Amino acid sequence: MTPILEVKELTKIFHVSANPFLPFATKPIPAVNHVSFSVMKGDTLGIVGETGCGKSTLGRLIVKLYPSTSGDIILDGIPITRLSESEFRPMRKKIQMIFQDPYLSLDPRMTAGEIIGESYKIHNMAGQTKELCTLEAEMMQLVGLSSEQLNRYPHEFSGGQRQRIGLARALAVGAEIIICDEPVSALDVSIQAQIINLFTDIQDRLTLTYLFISHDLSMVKYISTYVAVMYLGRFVEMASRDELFAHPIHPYTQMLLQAVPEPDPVKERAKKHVIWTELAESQPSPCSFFPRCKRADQSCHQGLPRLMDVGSGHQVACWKS
Amino acid sequence: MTKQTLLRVENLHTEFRTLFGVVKAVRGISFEISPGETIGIVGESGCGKSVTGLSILNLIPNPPGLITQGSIWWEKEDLLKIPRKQWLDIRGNKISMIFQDPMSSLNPVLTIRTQMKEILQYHTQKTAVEIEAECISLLNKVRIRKPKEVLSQYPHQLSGGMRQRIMIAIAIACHPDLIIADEPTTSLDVTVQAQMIDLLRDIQVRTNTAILLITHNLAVVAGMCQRVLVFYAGKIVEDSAIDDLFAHPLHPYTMGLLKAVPRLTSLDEEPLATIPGSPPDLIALPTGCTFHPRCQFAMQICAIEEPTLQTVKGRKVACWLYDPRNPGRLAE
Repeated sequence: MTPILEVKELTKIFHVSANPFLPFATKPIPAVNHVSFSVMKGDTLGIVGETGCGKSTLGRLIVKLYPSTSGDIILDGIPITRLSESEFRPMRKKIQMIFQDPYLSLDPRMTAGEIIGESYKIHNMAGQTKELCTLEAEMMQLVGLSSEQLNRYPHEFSGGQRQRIGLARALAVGAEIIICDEPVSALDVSIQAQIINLFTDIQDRLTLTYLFISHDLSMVKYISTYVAVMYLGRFVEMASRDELFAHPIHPYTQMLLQAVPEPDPVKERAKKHVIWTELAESQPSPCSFFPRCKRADQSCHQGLPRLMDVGSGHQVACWKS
Repeated sequence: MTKQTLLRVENLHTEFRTLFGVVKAVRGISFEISPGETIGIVGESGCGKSVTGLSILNLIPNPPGLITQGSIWWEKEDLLKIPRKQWLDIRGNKISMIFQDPMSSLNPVLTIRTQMKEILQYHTQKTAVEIEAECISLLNKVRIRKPKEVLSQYPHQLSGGMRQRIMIAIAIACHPDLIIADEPTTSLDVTVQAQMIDLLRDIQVRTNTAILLITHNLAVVAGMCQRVLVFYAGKIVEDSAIDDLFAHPLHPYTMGLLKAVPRLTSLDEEPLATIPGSPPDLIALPTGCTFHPRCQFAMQICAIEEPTLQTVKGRKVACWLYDPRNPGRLAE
């Protein structure tokens, strides 16, 4: 079986100037650095990492919201990286995105119906107005809203309902892969569970593939089939969900898992967190995690650690494994 | 009461008068804190938890906000009745606050030194040299490396975690008796969040400061607090010791909250338990118990009359399931 989405050595380098008076004195910042993975149809790949690790940039690169610097994205067997916008447009239907902030990602001057129908029109899929209306109503019902709400504006909906409209917009054009960039982090706890259940339910019904980007490890664990851990633009560990959470190998993954607070007072009180301080003055190492790593030693200087298979599809980029 | 009380909030009502109507953000809240105690306030957005924190420090913007009823007792004085001048002696000195967003609560055009010095200059009689030394020792306490360099920097040059540590350093500068921490870790990464929780716990052990921790994250409360108040639509629905709350939540809303969060340690594939519906509109609250439209145990009486806080096995809960006035209540 061929993967529905394959990413090979994808890299994005931003050129950022530290001094506003010297706009051309730029410094290259590799936000996404040689990332490779593949996803099968119907699976969910969870991508976790801290702020600024490049997980959102990776999501945006895959839907070509940013041009990539190098590397390949292969969608359903077709490389899309170097396609022009007009060549890519017919394929964009297959790959849609849901954004983090439900307040910023819907146009406040369009009704829910217009928002859902817009991409449908852009892709010239619309026949008659009647047909479009039926589709919009269908989509609303699919995501658990009623068709009477089609004429309402985004401000009339709550955060959870807006995220449902975001999902309906992605599904209207028949998306097969949906990139969810922190889709529930702006929502209240009781609403998060509703939205996550909707995501899994619709995934089962329509065999969707998700790329679920989040910093919430418990949520990623709940929804994913595979999980990748990202640190400063690179994947440092990737494995099936059960394997990764049962046997985390990379010291960064272990550190993240240890840091997640659990709703259990007895366990939490017993937990003795280590205050991780960065050893800034340490000698530079090819491994970007070296300054924060407690297992680091001389062997970490032998070069950049690459993702290596340590058995049963569990990949780790660490010299100590 | 044998225990000494540091702060007592009695029947606090805060509302906001807007164009759309009166938003009743806090509707009759009472609780007390003893010295050295950590109390958690948990609830969803719009449940009145931040407004409670701001009301205690009299920081509610007026208009539109107004504290309409109640009293806040601090050292035998009602904070709602003291003159404005006396406030300057309390804010930052006896009660201090850590705000949610370290990005917008530090002044971007002033150096860290200026912002830290201000509170010490106002509340202490120290000389400039002593203040400088104090600033450095405060930054050491919150474990910032190279404190001298950081003092001359501006907020934008520091990471989110560093800024939040500076907020904590400013909050503890005058050894307050109470710190109100309003979502101190919400915008931070889990690793930084773990550091902040450690830091606050550590400071509390060393200085015996009472902390009122306002958060929406039940897991953060678990590691830090001795007691938790669960807020819903401007009222306390459950007030309980931490272990009891997590082991046997009484109020249906608390039960729902605890079940709705996926846990790292569980391996089940069950769909997440949800609380149907969404939080109520504070302008047009439902009749009776504000939670009844979302409650799976709702009875006839729930839609008619609002339950009051009742003591059940040493805990307090506002639910008809436990109210002695309800003939169909759960057997104790």
